[in-house]
Amino acid sequence: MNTPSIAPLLALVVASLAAPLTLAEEQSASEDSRRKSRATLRLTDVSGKTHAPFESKQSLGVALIFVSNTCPIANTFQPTLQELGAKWQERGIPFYLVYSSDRLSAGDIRTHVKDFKIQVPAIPDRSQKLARLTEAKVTPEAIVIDREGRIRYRGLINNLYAGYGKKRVRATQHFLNDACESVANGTVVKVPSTKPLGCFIQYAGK
Amino acid sequence: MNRFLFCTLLLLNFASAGEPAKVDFATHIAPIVHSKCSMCHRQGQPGPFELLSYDDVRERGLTIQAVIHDRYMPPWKPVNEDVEFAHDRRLTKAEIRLIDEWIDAEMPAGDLSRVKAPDYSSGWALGKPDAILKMNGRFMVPASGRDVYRSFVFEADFPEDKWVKAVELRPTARGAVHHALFFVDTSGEARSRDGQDGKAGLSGMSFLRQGGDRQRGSLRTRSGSSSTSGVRGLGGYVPGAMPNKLPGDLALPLPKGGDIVMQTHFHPSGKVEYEQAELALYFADRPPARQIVPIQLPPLFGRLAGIDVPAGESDFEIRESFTLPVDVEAVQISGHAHYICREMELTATLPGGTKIDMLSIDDWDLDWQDNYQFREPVMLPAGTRLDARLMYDNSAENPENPHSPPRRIKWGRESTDEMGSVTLQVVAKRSSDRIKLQQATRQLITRSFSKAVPRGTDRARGGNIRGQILDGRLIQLLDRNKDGKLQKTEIPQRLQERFLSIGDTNNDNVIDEQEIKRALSALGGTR
Repeated sequence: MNTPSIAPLLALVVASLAAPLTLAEEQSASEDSRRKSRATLRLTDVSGKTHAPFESKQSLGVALIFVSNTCPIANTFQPTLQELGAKWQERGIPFYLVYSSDRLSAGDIRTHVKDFKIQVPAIPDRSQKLARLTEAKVTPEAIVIDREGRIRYRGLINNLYAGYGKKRVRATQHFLNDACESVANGTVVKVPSTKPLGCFIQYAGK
Repeated sequence: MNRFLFCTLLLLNFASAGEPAKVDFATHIAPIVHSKCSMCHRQGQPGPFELLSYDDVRERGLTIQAVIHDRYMPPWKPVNEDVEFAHDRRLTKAEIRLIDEWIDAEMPAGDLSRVKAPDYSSGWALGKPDAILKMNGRFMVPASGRDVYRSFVFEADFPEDKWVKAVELRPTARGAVHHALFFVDTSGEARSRDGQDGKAGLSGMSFLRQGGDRQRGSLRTRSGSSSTSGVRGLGGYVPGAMPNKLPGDLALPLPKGGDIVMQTHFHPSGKVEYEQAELALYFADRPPARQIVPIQLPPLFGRLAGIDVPAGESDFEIRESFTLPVDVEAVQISGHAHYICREMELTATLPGGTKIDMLSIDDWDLDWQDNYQFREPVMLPAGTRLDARLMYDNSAENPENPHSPPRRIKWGRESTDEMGSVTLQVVAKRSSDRIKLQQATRQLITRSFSKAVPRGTDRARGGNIRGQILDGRLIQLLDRNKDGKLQKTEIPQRLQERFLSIGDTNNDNVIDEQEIKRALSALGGTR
């Protein structure tokens, strides 16, 4: 009596196993492949030097900071980024500034590096591969990646800006530095994401 | 329009009614961007990037969308709608909707050959200037750190009186300049203090002789004071503001030999920048038939308005009222305050009871201090009451609070102190009424002095300050170096704060002759 009614159900289960992945599954699979790509990150800076931070056992993580040469909010943070970059380079979390735009030439980036006395490696991302890999949307946006390629923090560098045109005299919360601290200590990042504020990254072809 | 064309258009309209209208850059977006953004977002102007071509705008599409919805761009602080302003940069709701639709449609270009870029070939927005002055010295703006306030001198040195229709600034530290205000200095003091600390310019504003310039120029004595509220301004500069020529034959005086001083506010931009601005001047051919009279409420940038905001207080208010003694035409309006001011408004109540919102700013921002010219002069009859109100938020919730945790904030010239006033620039409808109007604005200052020193309250504290200041002999006694001024060191310690708070209107720790005279007359003395 029961047998005939189970058969179609079974068929359905079998069919669903063979069927293409659902959207959610597909996304998690591509996120998994992105994670793996992030764990084997290779970056070429504007002077042509290649960086493979996770090949060094000393690297506890990596901070990618999406920046722009013309975004005033991103530019305001350059002195802070040089300070943090120098500090965390020594403590095993190298910083990289990523310029994700198909309109920026190497010459534009070199001019920016010179004007803003940038010490942190400047990475051109004309193909916007790095932006896609990390789903960055804004400049400045900080993304801290651990050795497994997991994104442990994304968002603001600190709370200097409370909104467009709303600048504090000084920052009182230092999200990026705190996240690096946690990744370096192997503890949980207390604030794993904040909403970045600045200029939007324009994805090519969109 | 001929009827045939009209019918064709009507038909076309019907034909396209079924499908949503296509928004493209060439047809819809370029005209908005070119009229509201490009004057500032172009080469040589303070906008951080250009917004002229399709590629410029497409690259920034999402950012543009974010900042226009935030009302951060185009920068325009007034929200009042009773009056119309000239060169209003606000986007209309329809314009914002068009931009939204364009971005949703993935920013199509349209027929780019039809785009006509605005002509900026002359360089200066108002065309060829009558004179171009260069700032004395070059000032280094650091890459980071606190905001910098500094004043710079432009040696004007004209051999005769000039009448200024407009000024236009071309700063070199474009990323760092957030605003500048221009003042005339006829005392030569700014020039003599320029560069004394080893850097171009001077700190603070103490060169301003409030209401009492030493008379180097002849203009002042001939035509009477034009600075009844104490400061002779020549307007200001904020990124994004188009310079305006004063309407009609109106012009502001620049007495012969006078210098122009630019008080500048810099925001470090992330890189070292150097400021050595050029200032273009546009003159009128002849003196105006009628002169502009500034009505500053409260006067002296709120010096005597009791600005003393307790830490944590989020709704601290100051008010000032002034009744017009004569018929006037209001030409333009501006405000001044520092970081913690949140709201600022000036309302005119006409004798019949009609209220006109002349200026209303609900989210004051120190960075965008503009001077707003009315599209048409606003007629205000005698008996109109002007009410100014400024609100300060000294709570920790105010992100622009310069102190964390909040601290008590009083009136002062540092940017972390506060000031506050709204200035309405008017002309008396009948030129013969000007003197009466100026007298009334002077009386307002006098009343403010009197209110600041209530009668009798000082005796209990061991000294009748009113009496002591009134007593010219006391000043003679204290003036040990006999220079006619009271230096801080000459004032007994227990009286220093009170004396300086009353007499030292320009905050330079000296009560000079003009300040003594002013204090004496304000406190009811006749000498």
